[in-house]
Amino acid sequence: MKIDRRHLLKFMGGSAVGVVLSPLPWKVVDDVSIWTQNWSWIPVPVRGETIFRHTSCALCPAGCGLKVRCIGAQPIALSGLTGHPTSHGFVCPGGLLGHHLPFSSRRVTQPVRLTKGGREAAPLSTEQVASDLGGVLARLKADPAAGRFAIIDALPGRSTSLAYRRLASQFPGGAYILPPDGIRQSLGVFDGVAGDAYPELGVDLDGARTVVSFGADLFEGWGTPGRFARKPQSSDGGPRLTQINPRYSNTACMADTWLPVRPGSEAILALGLAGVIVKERLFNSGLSTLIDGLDEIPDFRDLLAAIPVTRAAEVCGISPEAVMTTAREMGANAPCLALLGAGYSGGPFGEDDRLAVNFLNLLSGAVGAPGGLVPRRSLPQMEIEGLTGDLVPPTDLSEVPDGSIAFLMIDATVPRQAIPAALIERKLVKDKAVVVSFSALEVQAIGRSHYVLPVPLYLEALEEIPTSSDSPFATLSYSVPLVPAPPAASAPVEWIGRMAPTAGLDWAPLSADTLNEARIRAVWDCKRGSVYSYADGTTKANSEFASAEELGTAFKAGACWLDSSADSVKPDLTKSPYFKPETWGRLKRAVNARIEVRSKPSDDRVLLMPFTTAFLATASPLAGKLTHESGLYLRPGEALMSPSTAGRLALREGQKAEVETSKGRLRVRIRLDESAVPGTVFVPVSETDADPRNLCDIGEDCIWRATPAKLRRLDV
Amino acid sequence: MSDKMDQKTETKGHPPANHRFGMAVDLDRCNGCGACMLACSVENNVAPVPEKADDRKGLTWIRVYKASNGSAFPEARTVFVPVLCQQCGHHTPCVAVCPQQAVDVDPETGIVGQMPERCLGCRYCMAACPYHARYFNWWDPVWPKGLEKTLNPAVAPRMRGVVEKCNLCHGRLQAAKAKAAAEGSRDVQPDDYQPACVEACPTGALTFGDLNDPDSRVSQLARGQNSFRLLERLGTDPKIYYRSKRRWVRELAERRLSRT
Repeated sequence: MKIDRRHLLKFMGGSAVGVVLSPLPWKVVDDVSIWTQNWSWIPVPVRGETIFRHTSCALCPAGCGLKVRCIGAQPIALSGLTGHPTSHGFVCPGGLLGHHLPFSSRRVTQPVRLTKGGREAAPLSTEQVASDLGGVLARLKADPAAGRFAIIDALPGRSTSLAYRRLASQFPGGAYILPPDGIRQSLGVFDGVAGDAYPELGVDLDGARTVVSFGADLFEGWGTPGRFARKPQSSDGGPRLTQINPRYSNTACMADTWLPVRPGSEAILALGLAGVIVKERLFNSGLSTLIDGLDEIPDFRDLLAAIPVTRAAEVCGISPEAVMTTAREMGANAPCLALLGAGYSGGPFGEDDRLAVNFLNLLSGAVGAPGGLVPRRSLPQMEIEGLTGDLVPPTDLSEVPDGSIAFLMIDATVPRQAIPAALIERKLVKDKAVVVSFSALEVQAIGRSHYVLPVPLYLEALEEIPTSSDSPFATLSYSVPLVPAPPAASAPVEWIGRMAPTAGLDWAPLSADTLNEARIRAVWDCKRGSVYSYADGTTKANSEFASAEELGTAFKAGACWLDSSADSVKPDLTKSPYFKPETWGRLKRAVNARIEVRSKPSDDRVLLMPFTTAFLATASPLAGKLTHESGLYLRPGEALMSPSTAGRLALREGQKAEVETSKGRLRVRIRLDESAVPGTVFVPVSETDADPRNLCDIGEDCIWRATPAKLRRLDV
Repeated sequence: MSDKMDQKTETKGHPPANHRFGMAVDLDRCNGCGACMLACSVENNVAPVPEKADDRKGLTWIRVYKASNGSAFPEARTVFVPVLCQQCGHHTPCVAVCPQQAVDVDPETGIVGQMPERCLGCRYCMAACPYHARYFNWWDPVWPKGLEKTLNPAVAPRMRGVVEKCNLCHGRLQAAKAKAAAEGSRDVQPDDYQPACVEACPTGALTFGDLNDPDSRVSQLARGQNSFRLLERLGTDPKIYYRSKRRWVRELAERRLSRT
């Protein structure tokens, strides 16, 4: 056959059609796409045996129970334990990423000396640290006039806390300082009413039918969030929640009623509610004699008369009907709890707010009753050689005079307990003080430290988790070591032990293990309560453990000790401050001052309120899923405000602006939200320079909730 | 609603599904914490993206949107709406448009699966998806040094240039199947596995199960009075049901979700 040009063209055409109709091009495309997905820089997950272990989260005092999925020895995922007696399966977003922390770029792996405001870091050896800081402590001990020694404890109540108090006792005027804790400070109003055996009160959320929350973000890190988050809603038989908060927080979003009060008016609303409850005799009938007796106090009568419903509603910026309805619900739907709290970034409320809000608890009969504030024992006292003798009593930062601290140690092992750097600086002897932080991560609290000493991170050491401030009974659990700590990381007591010889301290060698063993022995010795095992979900009486070592083994496998409840204890309410006339005098003065301020006509200023939730106190890159990748949470440097306020200030969504207070300026990007209270700008706390707390006026009482500010548009 | 539940769930070319795995999302219980998004990212090795990325280029198989009732202060109210692949059971839009057959519906479970190995990155599926539940890998998957040790070996990281989406934790389903096989069972039961988001939800807003089982919790919730599906008028028969007692929230289902 002769092959001509036509045959050639037909062959080429047929081939082209054939190739297209054959699987070949698709196969090539498939192979190319697979090939391009297997570059050498695409990480390949490590394979191995899957093992489940159990621990408790040590990132906040809640101590949620966790199931840890490991491949070999490496944790790869954390999840909650549904049967856990206090967390009920709850794990916050930050807790879910806890296993990422050891790989954070902000991980502190060796001792460093910071200079130039933390911008430069020089590594030090362990010996250098012991020698340098021991020398400073020795000079301070020899010359008390140079200033005082102080230590801030991130998580009070641990066995380590006793060591800190012992250390502080060795210096004249030494102070052991508690971090700001809105729950502890609020419930502290009733300290001592239940006798010496029950020095504190806890919150029995499980039994409450009505919860009136003054800024306590129950779903976002207030106390133990798992205790409320899994409850049925009020329509399904759960407690009714009224959220009183200037910010439309996620908890406000979930509440049955949200009362958007003006910042700073919470005490006035509480006293307005109290006025209705007293006038309409909605208080607990068993307290009639006591409450009627308060009428003998002139300041009490004057105060309630000065805040009628209409006045309280006007000052708070809500309707009188809302005040009346809330008060009547509190009376009709007992047990009723009034809770006070603020996001930790906003700091605690002041003493006046604590007194005003807790008076509602007294009226509703919540103090000492199921579903209210119940007496709680402390953790069993431990005895350990070297920690005997006088211990410095705990104190709040507000009680320490400004400019008095020459040597400050900060236990920053719990990242969320951040105190504004400006507040810490105010307490220091100017230009001469030495600040030392024990920290696993470079968090803001250590930003102005001179020395940073690495400590084991959560999941790297056996860490004690004492009773959470809100718990209705004493609890104890441990975070179990699952991954190795960096070689230079040591427990704070071990760092102190290294400094002790040079400093000339009377200090017996202590290790974290010694302290943990002593604590576990003390719990075993008390024979009270029960132990919940995470692995099999069983509960065993503490008295059934044959030895403290057996109890220790249970803790290290994942367990939680729960003290027995104190149902039979009846508090003596007359020991509370409400039966002292000076309390009402104080409240009267405070309320009058606030009403006067609120009555002034508004100008073009706004109120700056820093906020955050505990959930993002994490150093995982996946946290970005909630901020810049989705817009669910505000990013650092963004500011939330209402469209009406923005319109008044000629600002638009996405526009750059500058917040200015007497303390400085901060550039922000405007985000508008109809649910934001007009006249207020909410800025999220950040670990960066964009931290709004640097702009806040921090009062003598160390409160920094809201600060007057100017907001102006940046045209560039 | 019950009539819709009884709809034949057969997809074109497939026999009726043995199971019809789906989810009920109680919007009145969602507090917008985002735990579901993080648990999903941890479970499925969803890579972090650079800081410069915005919400359009973010990579989240489940995303919690914030939607407003449109009122001004003080009547303004918000609802958080977790949106994941709606696992469409009828005329699944992404299946129809994929030129690579990289998307298919598992006849055994009704789960819409995505095979990134086949994906060309044309993003037709993203354009077709009425729920914006598909995400494109704009960057190489990069984890900070050391963090790759924490990746889940049951799920392969995806390459830049491909689309990915929720598959109701395929890795967990496979593990449940393997466990069932080891125990001599040929069928995996819904109780044998839970997607990571359901397990992580702190408030119990998410319920997972077999919609074909009328006694299952998810099935009962889906049949409930306040149950609805997103953009139901499109007829895609999604297997994700939402619930809310608030009328304005239910009405949102037929409207565009807007960021507030």
